[in-house]
Amino acid sequence: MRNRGRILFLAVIALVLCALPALAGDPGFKQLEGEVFQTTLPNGLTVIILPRHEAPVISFVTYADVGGVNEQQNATGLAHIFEHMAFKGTTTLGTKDYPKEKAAMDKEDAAFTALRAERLRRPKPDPEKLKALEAEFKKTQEEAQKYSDTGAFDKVLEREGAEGLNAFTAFDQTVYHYSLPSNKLELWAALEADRFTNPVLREFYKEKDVIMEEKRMGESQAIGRLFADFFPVAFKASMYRSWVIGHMSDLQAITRQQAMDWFNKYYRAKNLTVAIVGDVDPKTAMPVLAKYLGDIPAGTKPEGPVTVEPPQREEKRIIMDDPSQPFLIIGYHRPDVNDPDDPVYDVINDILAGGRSSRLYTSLVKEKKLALAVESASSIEGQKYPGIFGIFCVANKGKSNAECEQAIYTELDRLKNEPVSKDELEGVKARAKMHFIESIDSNMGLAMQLAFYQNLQGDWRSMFKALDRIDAVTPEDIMRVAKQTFVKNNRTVGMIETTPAKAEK
Amino acid sequence: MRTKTITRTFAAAALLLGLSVVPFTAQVKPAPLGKQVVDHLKYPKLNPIQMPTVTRETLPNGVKLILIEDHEFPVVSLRALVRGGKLAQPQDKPALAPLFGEVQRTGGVKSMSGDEMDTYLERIGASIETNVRDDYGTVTAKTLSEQLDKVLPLFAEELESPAFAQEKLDLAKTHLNSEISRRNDQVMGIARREILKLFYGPKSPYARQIEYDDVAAVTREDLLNYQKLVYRPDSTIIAVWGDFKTPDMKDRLAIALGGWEAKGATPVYKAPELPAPAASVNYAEKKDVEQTTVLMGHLGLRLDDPDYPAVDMLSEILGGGMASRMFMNIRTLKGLAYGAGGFMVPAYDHAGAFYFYTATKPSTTAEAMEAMLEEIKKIREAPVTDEELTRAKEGYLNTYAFEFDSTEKIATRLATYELYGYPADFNVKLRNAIEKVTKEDVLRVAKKDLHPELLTILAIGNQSQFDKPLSTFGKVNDIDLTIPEPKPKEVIPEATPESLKAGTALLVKAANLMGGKALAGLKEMTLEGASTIVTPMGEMELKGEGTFVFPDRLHNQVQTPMGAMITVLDKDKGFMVMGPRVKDLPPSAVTEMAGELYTESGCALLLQRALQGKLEGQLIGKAQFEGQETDDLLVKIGDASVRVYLDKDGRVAGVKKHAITQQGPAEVIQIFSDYRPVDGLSLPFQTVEKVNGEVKATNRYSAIKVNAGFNEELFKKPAPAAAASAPAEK
Repeated sequence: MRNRGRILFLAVIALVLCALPALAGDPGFKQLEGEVFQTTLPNGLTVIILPRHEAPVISFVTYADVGGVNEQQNATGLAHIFEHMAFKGTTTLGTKDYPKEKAAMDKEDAAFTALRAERLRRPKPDPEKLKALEAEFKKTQEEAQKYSDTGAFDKVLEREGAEGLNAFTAFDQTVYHYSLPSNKLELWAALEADRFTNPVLREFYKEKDVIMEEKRMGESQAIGRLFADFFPVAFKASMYRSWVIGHMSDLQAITRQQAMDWFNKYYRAKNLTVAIVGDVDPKTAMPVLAKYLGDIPAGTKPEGPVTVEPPQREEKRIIMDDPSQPFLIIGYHRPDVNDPDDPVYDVINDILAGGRSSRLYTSLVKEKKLALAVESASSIEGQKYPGIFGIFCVANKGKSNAECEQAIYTELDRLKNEPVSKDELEGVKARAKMHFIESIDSNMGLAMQLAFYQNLQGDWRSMFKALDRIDAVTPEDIMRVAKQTFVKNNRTVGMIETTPAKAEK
Repeated sequence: MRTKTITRTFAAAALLLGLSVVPFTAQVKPAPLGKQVVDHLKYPKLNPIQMPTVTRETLPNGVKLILIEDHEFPVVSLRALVRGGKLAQPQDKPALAPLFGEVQRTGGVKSMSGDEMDTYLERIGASIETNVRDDYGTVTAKTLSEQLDKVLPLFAEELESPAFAQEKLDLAKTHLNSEISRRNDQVMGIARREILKLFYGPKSPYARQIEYDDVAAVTREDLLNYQKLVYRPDSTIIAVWGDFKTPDMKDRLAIALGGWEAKGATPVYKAPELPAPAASVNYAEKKDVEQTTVLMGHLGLRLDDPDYPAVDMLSEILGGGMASRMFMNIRTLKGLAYGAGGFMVPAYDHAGAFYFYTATKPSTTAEAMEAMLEEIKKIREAPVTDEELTRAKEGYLNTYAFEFDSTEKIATRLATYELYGYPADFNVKLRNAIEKVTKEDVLRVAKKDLHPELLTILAIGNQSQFDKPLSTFGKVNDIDLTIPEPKPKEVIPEATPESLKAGTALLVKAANLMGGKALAGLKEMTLEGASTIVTPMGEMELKGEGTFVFPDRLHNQVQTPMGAMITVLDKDKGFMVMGPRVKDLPPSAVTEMAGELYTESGCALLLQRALQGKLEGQLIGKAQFEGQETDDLLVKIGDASVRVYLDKDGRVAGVKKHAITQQGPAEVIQIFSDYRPVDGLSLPFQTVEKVNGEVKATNRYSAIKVNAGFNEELFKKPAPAAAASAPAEK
């Protein structure tokens, strides 16, 4: 079953982790690097193409340099709402009669704005008025629905053989992706240009209901609830504190106009990158891409967030009593992905939890038998701005979070106090090469990597320099970074402590 | 460096094509809009699918190889499939497969421990993993091609001779127990598990839920036996793809796997019989959720069913994607859920199932369920539209190229087809069949294969907040998600001279209560009476009589609806007679029966032996036995042991022992009551037998005679002539 519009969180980590290191000087990768074609259209849209003719298929990625981090209080969840709306069609696709539909949607918006105003009224809304306004809103919604050719965008693409048609919204980016048989490049270009030039946010209010269900689904899992509460504690200022899906109140209140404003600000050519990998020839593809994508208005590169997370003063802990089994997350603040120490965090991450012989796995799973699983991630949410190095632990039956936490600190202290052996570092490099290959052995994997590196590190070529950066990491770097990062006042600890189900109220 | 060259080449080409910067910006005519493009776009011919060269080989020991070269990256991957899986594990050891899957790898091989393998492989960026699935086990390996020499011998050892270190089995048990303790934390996990149990039956290998006691039951011996029986070269298919030369790889595998031999006939594993679908509404309460999770469906088709292509189109239109009827109705139009839809998920060698899914807030549970049911019913009433069928078919055909976009997909698919005996071009045949599906076919299979009246419905959530009670949809069966605690492990204290003395004294006291001298002189006894037996078909009342000649001869005769059934134990031999058929008892059954005799009739033989000083008892302490406080004794009889419980007067209230029943090893309890005098003895006239806590038989005796003589003919095996009318069973 395909579900569109994922909130991406852990998946981004996996992606970025995999992206790490390439082996410097490997002729295979150099050749691959040489085949990448990149250009910028006159409107500012970045195009990256990598031909790979294994099968007659192409994977497409459209990367919008906007995510949860760009949101504001009172309208959290907006980035993700727009992402859902980008599948609702355009002025020509998805409508039975656009002028009439537009008029009906305007009435729908007016009715919703009135309802929203009443809902927000203080000291309190008038229940009679609310009822009347809700009825009116429902009527206008039904009227607008009559002109909708529901699901037209999805239907065309399913018929034409789209694979993996989906999108995700994360802290730093919103990414739209699917694959097609390679003779349908023009279809993709036309549909993508159309939806990012002439989008119509039809069925807007129904789709918000869907998103509220998505939020409920995430928070039906105890770990989902823990994460939602962990970030606002770990960050006091940075918008990385806001869980991308948004607050229920904001989801209810956001208007179609707000989503359109978001689109107009962040979905201009200068803020978009497309990455295309597969059975494609840049020479024949470029005229097609220019013809369609060249029409996306240039816009200006939007300003990023101003707020910077201040240094943490003291350890923070959140304990969630829940009927679920124990779960532990420990997060340490770390610099952004462009900091010179970024590769050191990647090496530490691999030493700690990169496989069955890694230190945390050996200690907690194999030797002390405390944990069913223990994982780490060099960055657990955004990377564009200073983020969090995270460690997750799933305790064995009968073992406590406290025992696991202590065992984790023992390993972190070792990193601070003993230099990592040469042999262990060699292992990191060998695994890095394998992970790199795994991350690029599919068209979609490659397209994602190219788009991510281009945006997060300013140049897709950094992808091919990643191993040089890993190579340069010394045991002293590891000790230095461990000492400055793994300290008590820099960490936030979140846990689920098992308690019997609460009695009914 | 080459990037720049290409960029320059492109710039030149762009100039030639007139695609300079100026034409881009000066474009007067806007590009056509989405709808116009969609309606009028003509696509160029798709480049042909290039099937890589596939080499198939069979090694002398029967291992089948599927080899595909792919030199894009310097990596080699291997994937071995070994027939058997959960189908091959003993019924009473459902935890074997997951434990085997973990310990096969973590427990290491002969040449290296599991921990050593971890370090050795990860230092070279390689991996080996193992798993056991429903129908087969897997061993996979992945390595940079330059390290193949280091990885291949370990891969072979994993198949041939894993070590199953006890310490890693214990660790795997800790992990599996931890997983059991967490199995109710994820609502989708609950949904998947419970619907499988409802579809396939709770004991089916496709659905079996593992409990703590199942984990405890698996021994290292079990893993070794399973490995020996199941992991055979002639049951194995290995797909290899990546950066190698085919003849060289074939030679290397022949050497690496050369010593692996199979003895005897290749085992054949058959998919079990499946239950017929029956309608039910099931509810599992889970209050710490924000939504109700709904699954519904019933068993469906095999992948090779001639109607599968039409059913696939049917399920695609009904629930297959974002343009499907269910998704449109529930998500797009009603906004009730984030996910909604479903599929017929086929299986290769047994019926797959239709699964329809949604998750919605509690107050719209019934509304969403009604919408799902409405769509399921509607698609059986009228043909689907041309547009729907075209979209489903085109969608399938247009994504066909993706079946070839990685060598891994191709190699894995061919290995799976080989495993299940499907033709290598099965996907081509399927594609051609789908091309031919008509609207009439879809309607026909909707009526034939989709059964709204037989749906199994499962809702997980908090019913007190539902918009309508679930009983609106039918009689509700409540599912209890409580995880059964493990049976407490009994710790038996070491025997001490004191506990043996006290225990033996109590046994002698019990023997005296049974008759003292009369018991010492007991040589034989005849019992007549009736048994109430609990069978899967219900209770049955059987008449019977038995002659027990101390200490090791028994003639037992029971009148069954099929005729008399006679069981005879004569010292170290035994046989059974059922109508014309005579069957010798295997030695294991003879030993088992001889042991049973010790506790017959209130432990008459056991107490006689204690009186003679031939058996000792160890006093364990006080224990509750069937509602009364008793003295709890442990009595060792040869290698076996039995627990004897003495009531407040010192009489035998009952025993507990472990025995092999038709359903496998079990805990058996016998409760003795209604003691009556018989020629100076005091013997129980009622014996109740419980197996694993459930009453299986109640024996009531109408007459017991002692030392009254017996007919030696009873112990004669019927002449072969009497048995000749039916072939003897082996």
